[in-house]
Amino acid sequence: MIPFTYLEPSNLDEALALLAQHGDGAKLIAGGTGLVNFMKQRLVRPRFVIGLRALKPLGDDQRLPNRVRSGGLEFRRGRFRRGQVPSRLLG
Amino acid sequence: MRRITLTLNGASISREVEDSRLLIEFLREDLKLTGTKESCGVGVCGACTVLLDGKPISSCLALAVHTDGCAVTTIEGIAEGDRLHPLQEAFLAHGGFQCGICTPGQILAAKALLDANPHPTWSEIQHWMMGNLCRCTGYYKIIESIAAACGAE
Repeated sequence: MIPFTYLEPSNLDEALALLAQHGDGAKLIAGGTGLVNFMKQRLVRPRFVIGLRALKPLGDDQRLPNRVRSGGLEFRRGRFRRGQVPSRLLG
Repeated sequence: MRRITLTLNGASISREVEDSRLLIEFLREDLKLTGTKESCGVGVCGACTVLLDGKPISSCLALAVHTDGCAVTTIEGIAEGDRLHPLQEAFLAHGGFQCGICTPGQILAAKALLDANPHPTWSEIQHWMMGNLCRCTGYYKIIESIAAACGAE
């Protein structure tokens, strides 16, 4: 793997400050499989990787009649398991 | 470098790791736990599956630092002493493997299913196991092994 420095903010404000500080040299990682794949293939070479796992889900979850709105950092699988996605939307 | 503390196969460990260390490198190279196998390296085949807080993940794409404070289970950790896990026994009894590269991942993926749902149907097993590829068995023996371990029909 390409070397990078891992940073782990404990809240959204810290995360935004780190992003502002490091700009294009930083990439965010949440679940992480996409970014790690790109780094392994050397398509992306960030100097800093900012991990979001300590952050709470962002924004409000809303269940509307014909759609589901999800905040950032929400796990799709957990949402399905909790029955929050109406079956007619699952195709 | 960063110090991580995790529960690995039931025991607490603490190690210094490079920030960019992948979980599979940490397990195989730093801890010499070579039961976890890497195959595709891009998170598609499921061979490197381990359990992170009970959920199956691809260790080839996980950062070791992301296991800090978590519980990791590898194939080395599911037997109890000399007594194999019922899934391991079932794979042996029902011919659920041939070359064996995918087997640790198959068994851990199946364990995650049975821990959450001890009595899955045959089709639930088939659906769940879609993330774990095998180029030897043709899958029937794998599904039969898991079904035998949990009495599914």
